[in-house]
Amino acid sequence: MHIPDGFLEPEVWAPLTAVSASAIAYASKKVSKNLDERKVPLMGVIAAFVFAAQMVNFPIGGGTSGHLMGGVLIATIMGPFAALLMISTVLIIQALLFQDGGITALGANIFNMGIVGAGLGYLTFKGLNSVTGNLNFAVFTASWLSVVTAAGIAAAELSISGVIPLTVSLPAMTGVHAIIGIGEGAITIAALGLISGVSVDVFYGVQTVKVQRRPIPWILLAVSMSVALFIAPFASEFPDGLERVAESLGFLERGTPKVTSPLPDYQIPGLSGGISTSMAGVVGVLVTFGLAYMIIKMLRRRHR
Amino acid sequence: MFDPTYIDSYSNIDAPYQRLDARGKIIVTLAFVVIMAVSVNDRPLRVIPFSLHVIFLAAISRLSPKVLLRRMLPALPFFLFASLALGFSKGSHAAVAAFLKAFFSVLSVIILVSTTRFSNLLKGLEGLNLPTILVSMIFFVYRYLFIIADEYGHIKIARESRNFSGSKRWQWKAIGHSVGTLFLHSYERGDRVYSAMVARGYEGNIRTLGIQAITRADIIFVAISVIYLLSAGLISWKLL
Repeated sequence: MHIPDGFLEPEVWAPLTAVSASAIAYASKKVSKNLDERKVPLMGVIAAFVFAAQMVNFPIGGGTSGHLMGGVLIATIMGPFAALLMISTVLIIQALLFQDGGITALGANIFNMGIVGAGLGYLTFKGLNSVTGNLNFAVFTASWLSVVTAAGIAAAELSISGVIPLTVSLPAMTGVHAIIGIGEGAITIAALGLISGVSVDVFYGVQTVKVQRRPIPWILLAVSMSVALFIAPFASEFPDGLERVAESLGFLERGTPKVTSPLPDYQIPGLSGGISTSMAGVVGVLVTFGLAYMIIKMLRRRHR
Repeated sequence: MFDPTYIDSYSNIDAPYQRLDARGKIIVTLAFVVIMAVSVNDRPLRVIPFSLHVIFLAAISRLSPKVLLRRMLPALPFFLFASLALGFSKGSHAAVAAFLKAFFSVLSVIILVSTTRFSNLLKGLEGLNLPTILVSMIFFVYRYLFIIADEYGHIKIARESRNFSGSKRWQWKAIGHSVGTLFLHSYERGDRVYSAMVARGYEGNIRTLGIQAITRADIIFVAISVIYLLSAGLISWKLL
């Protein structure tokens, strides 16, 4: 999944580099503040563990094997920010010393595995754990989702750059990683089980003794985002009911919008096809989520 | 892959490029990779001026082509595969261009890493405002990666000597426990390393004896390289 130099277009890697760089800067500040900064050696040795864990192979059937990503494993123990730093460290070393992943693609690789893989994985874990109270279920789903989403995003980046069309790469990448993800989930459960058997309270930001049953919005956001990303491009491209009626009755033209939509027809201007729909979906979900969140916040304040 | 001596084995050759400051070399390598990535697009011919720059660096670092190509070997299969895919979707020109871009980017990184002591490289990254905590972590991964990987090797041998087989589900569980054990060992090791370092006067930042200074040669090297790369990008953009 490590994308090398030369295959991503600047339009893809430049913004992703900016996103990853700011995420790293933020995480560094956060970790340095929370953690006793002199404990950096400990963080470093555990980052070396992440590197070694990524070389762990496991059989997935048919004579092939997958290898561990470890994003959720390390994020559930050390927290999402430390995990992002560790995975970035590993990716930088892999790019510099092992020629695994490119320099211009480093931002994209950190985005796929650190921000989406570990970050989204952690949010999924935390959300599912507080909703269902089932630790193993939360760990498994989060691990599986982190592997599949990271693969899906990598496929999307390559297809925006014109390497492989999304219709080919997305099913192929997510298909293989859906199987690898099962192994990742099972191994992560077993590893965390062993670790939590030795030391209590291993899970970062989660109290394992007292389970809170309070649904948090992040999990819903994550689900909506993945629907927007992966399912929206395959939605019907035929006009919906209202548009169809409007068309046949001939008043569609009269419905000229008062305000020019920033995302006409669920497409982002300048991008094309499935990606555009995906991105428009993501933007839509984020905006809706933000609005709903703000409204609820305001209502709550008024109730008090 | 796991010969730890290979990383620094050519950084002590007494050659002009090895004597330059790490910061300048990092800037030039970044400029090379980024300008080439932006300007080449789908035209393979535009790679020519950039390849000349890499060949020049290889020459002033006195690294033999054999050494460079051997380090590059593990990356090549993926380049070939990805360019092949690109060839089907965007045509042969784009495929060749992408392959050459990938090839020379990796080559420039290999030259940078082979000619710079790893500790100097990290000092250089820190000097270029990478977060200190990240640089320290890279330092520790570099130091302990081989030890931790070796430790997993031991766990694996122990596992296999206990007749590791059976259903896939059981294997996943056993591998998971191995990974958990490896984490605990790493955690304990990290604690011990930290205590040992504190006992030796560690206060939160890593000190090295080698102090690098930017000389006139560094400034000239960076200036000429960046000007060359920029004009190479612009001229090939117009002509080729």
